[in-house]
Amino acid sequence: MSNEIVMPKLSDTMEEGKILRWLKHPGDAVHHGDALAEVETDKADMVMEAFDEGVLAEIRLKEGETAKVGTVIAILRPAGAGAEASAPNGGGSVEPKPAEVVSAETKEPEEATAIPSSGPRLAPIRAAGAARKRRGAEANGENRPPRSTPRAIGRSEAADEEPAEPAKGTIAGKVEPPPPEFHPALSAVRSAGPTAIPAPPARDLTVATPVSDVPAPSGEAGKLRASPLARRAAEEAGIDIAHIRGSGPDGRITKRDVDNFIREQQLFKFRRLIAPREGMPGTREELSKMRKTIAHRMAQSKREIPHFYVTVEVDMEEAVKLKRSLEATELFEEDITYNDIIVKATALALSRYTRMNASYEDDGIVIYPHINIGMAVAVEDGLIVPVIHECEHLTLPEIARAAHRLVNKAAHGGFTSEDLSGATFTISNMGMLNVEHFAAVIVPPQAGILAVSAIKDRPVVRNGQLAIGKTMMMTVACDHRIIDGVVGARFLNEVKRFLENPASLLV
Amino acid sequence: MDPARILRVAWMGVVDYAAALELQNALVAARTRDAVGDILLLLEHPHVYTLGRGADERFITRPTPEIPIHRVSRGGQVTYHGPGQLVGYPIIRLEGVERDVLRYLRKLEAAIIASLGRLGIEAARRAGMTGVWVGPRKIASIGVGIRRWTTLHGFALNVATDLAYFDAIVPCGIAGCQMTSIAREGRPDATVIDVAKLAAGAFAEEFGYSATEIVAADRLWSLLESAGGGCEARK
Repeated sequence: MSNEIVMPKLSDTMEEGKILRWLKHPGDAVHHGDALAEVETDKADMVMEAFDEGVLAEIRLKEGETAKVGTVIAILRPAGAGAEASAPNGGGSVEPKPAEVVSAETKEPEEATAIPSSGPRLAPIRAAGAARKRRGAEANGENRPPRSTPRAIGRSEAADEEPAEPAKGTIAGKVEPPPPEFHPALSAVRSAGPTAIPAPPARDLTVATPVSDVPAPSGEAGKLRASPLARRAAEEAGIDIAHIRGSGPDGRITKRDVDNFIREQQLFKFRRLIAPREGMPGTREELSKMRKTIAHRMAQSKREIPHFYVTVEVDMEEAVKLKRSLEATELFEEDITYNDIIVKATALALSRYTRMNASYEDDGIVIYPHINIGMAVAVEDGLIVPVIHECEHLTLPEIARAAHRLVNKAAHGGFTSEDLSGATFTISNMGMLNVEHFAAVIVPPQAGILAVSAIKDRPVVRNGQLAIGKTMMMTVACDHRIIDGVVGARFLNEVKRFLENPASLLV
Repeated sequence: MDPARILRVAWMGVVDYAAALELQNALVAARTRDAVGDILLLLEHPHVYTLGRGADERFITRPTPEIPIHRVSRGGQVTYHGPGQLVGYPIIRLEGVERDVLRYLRKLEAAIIASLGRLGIEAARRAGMTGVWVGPRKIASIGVGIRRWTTLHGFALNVATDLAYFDAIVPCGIAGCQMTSIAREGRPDATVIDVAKLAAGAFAEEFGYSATEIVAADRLWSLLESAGGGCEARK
């Protein structure tokens, strides 16, 4: 007695469907709930799921072919003598089914899901009324199938949890051997379903309870030192329990250890998935610790430090040539970046204009003994300011090496507190962001910050002739309590002079 | 419908296609076991061409080595995603009379048409050609997957998309199909985020949600965490 599998009616208005892919092939064993084929109608792609047991005997509609709803597309033959498809929970062949189906989904999440194929025995897909009646019956406790037993659970390999209550969702339809008129895919019609509240913790406990009630198969449990609950959770999540460290007595692995392990894995995965983002309008988000620090310090800066700004345009023609010739000759081991060149020029200027390398403090000026230049670096939702210490002693390649080391740490972590503290002056370089010009906010208690913009082709006058040159805008913000415009302007012009005569930077 | 149907809406920013697919699969798995509620993901993709399961690769007439191609388990032919295009992935469970694939497609179209209406753009369906059209020009593409009556994939609405990228393909397998965008249809001022807001509202209305809840993207993982581990009780 073979069963015909027909093109399912996925919509009231659906007339025909196309087989995109057969997920089972002639000769394959088919269990209830297995993904049989992907069916396409219009712009939708659905996975057709088996709800009968047997062996796929024949495929009548090939991949890429289209057939009218109700057309026989495949034939399912019963697997063997005792394998009655709708056998209730007693039959050994029935019990493991949910596990297999669920694991199929885990391995191939794109494919394994389910719409039922309309077999001849069953009601058409739209028989929602029947399903609702069915659900009502379940709610009343009639025909309630047994909960998953430890044995079935033990066979499960998937992350999907089997629902505790049979009425929970489509999966329940597989846990439960369907009576003839019952359509598994419709068992999910449950009014409580879509209220969109994340899984209440109680559910997990509900699932767990029946298991923990059952004595563990003692030998096995002793060897692995894990509670049956933990073992089950790990198996469901597809995790080798050997990877989990136990926190219980004698290193026994508890369900909580497994949960924590899963949580950490998911946390890691999702942090990665949701990389750069913008907030959705109309939402409030709590600030991260870093964001809070930035908020407080920048507000303090603008509240307490009277900023004034000076801007110059720097002809970078020579610096560009220098960088290229250093690249060509490989004079230094380190690649020299524009940022390194700017740090070096700034350090030289700071050594001549010491008030720029100072702090206002209780009606006094503290001049720092060293020139420690911080470089603002953007990180996810914030910035950090790694510091190159004692720049007054460093040559250009030494600065490059120090910067390179810090960039590596920024990418891979591993900053020490020294790397991030002690700056006496800061450079914010947005050259790579293609900005014309910007001004930065001083990092307290420093006296100034240099904002560096992109090098661009701009008209320049050379020897009274208009030409196209490579220029860069630079703006310094100064603390007016200790620096006046003249000093700020002279300092900035000194930086400009070094950049326009970069041979001096090699000394 | 249940009076307390809530749609969670997450604005994800720019998300790589493969990562978004992974996220969708995780959400679908969680949704089918009822561990999370209905969620609408709204995002932009970096440049990518995608082919539906049944699509013919020849529809990418001029492949560009820099732009990746993904074959995905949704219906439909080839399409392009990229900056300036709002992509919406509803991960919702269809219930009762909503368990009708074509009805779902029509309602997606209706939601997009309503969003465009709020921008003063008159859009419509075209018989036998799933998607949303402004006159003969296509402004939104639709391709969905349905798994245990839970939806994935969804729609791509051109806001300020560089339409030149469609020139390298035969969009949706329709030769001579002309694409358009919200910018081209007279609203160059609309941003992807503006349109995301409109689309979230229109979607919730069309699908009969009583409320929407905006979820910060980085809260999604905690939803899934509670779905997977069930360790919420101890937090």
